[in-house]
Amino acid sequence: MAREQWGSRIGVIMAVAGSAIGLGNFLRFPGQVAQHGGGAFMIPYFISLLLLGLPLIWIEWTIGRFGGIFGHSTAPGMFHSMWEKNRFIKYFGVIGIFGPIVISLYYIYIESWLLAYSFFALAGSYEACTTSELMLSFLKGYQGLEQNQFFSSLWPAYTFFLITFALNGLVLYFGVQRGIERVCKYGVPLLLILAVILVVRVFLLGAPDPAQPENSVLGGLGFMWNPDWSALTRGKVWLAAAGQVFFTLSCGIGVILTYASYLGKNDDVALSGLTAASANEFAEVVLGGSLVIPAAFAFLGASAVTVVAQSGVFNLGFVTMPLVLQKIAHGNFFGFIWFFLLFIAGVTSSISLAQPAIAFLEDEFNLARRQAVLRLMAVIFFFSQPAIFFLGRGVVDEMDFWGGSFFLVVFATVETILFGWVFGMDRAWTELHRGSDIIIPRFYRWIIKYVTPLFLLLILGVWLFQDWLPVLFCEGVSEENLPYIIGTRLMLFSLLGSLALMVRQSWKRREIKLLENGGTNDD
Amino acid sequence: MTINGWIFMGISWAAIIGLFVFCLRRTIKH
Repeated sequence: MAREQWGSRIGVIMAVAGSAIGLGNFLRFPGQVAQHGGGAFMIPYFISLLLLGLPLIWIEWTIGRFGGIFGHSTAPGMFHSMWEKNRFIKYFGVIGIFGPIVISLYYIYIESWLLAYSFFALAGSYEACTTSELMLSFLKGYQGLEQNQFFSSLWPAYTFFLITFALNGLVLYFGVQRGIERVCKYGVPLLLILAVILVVRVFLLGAPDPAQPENSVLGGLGFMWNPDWSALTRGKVWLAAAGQVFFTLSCGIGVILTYASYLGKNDDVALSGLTAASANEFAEVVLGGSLVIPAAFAFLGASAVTVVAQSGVFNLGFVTMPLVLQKIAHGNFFGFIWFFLLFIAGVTSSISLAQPAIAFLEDEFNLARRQAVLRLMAVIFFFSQPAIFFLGRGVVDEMDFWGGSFFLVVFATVETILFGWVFGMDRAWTELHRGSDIIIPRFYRWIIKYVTPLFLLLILGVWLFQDWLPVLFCEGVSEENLPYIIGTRLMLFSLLGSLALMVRQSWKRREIKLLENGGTNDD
Repeated sequence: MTINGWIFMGISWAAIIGLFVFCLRRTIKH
């Protein structure tokens, strides 16, 4: 079976940028900046980008292209190709398929809220919600967390989920070039244009209430960017900045590995990786930093924005923003732009999350693409039901912990050590620069080998003891929610175990084939 | 917004937009 290939260089860059640009750029980033010292947050942010983000991007693009040469599009085969003598490293690569599947179990559902809210904005469905309490009630009613004057059942949410799910399936069904590449090539520029339109509109707000001239867009930008130097002495700020850089670039998920595997042997990875990362940073720092906080500050004032910044991404996106945009002339239209741009950002991310598992079925089990898509979508559909029906029980948080935090950092740490220490820095550097259109400064050899792994180990250690141990031991989980959390955990670990067994089966089959042929290992 | 705020925002925006434009131009050129 012929391996899939990207149609153009700009196509793969847009696909990787589309995978990285998501809700985190427009909602998580402004919240983090506002909470952690405004402009001073940007110093640790940029340092983390240089020492952690960019090295990880180059590592993943290089490993991905290297794996593709041997016919592997996913981490088990790639890691095995890099460290043939180790029989267990391929099992570690399972995380690079498991993680994205787990994230997609709840991500597609959240994405469907964005589609629904795009529709609600145009239809004026939440026009009556003039306070944040009412807007929150609208959201909770939609999510099925309560029955109220807005929604009496979960069916509207489930209908939008089915539409979004089908849309994702359709894009994946058409394959890498005709599906993913085509959607990202138009989707990413479109979402950037929509975001620019919204930023211009927000900047033109000035001070909307003449009675309160201090509540202005400039005040909001000041809230975001005025530096609080004392923040630099707090370890928590440095950790938050490193975390934001790590999550925003989609590192450690396994998606970049898969996307890069469809490159040719001598296609550039150094410049392409940097271009995709800079597109993501543009969407985050320039556009994401100019929307939610400045707009909220102009209408709600400084004290309310402090609360808003700490209220989490869903509150920022689904409560504060629609409330604020409603106060602008043609608010319905701008509300639509807001939700639709986030929906596009969601689609380009969710299709990327499904691709590693599809590629795994294609590569290691010789399944035809359409067969692989149908099987994976059936699995995602089945396992995403708890996220929909037990949202209020903490199921999504549990999934996000394993798929979106814990395994992500573990995976990135291992692949970095594998790249710099096992594969070897000389080989790694040569591999990174094969066909390269830019020359990466030589000091990055030292950064990739020593600084990035140490940085990751530090993050891993601090998060493990500070944040993750309580989650691992279900501390703070109410007794009535505990069965749901345990059930979700069992479900996820059965999925992880099944994937590990599939890797074992695939390699056994390969060994038998090799013995029958009496030939050499094609790895 | 203070002068320091403007400086931070200006430097951050210039760095990001500069990098983005540089990369795009190099990519298109190749």
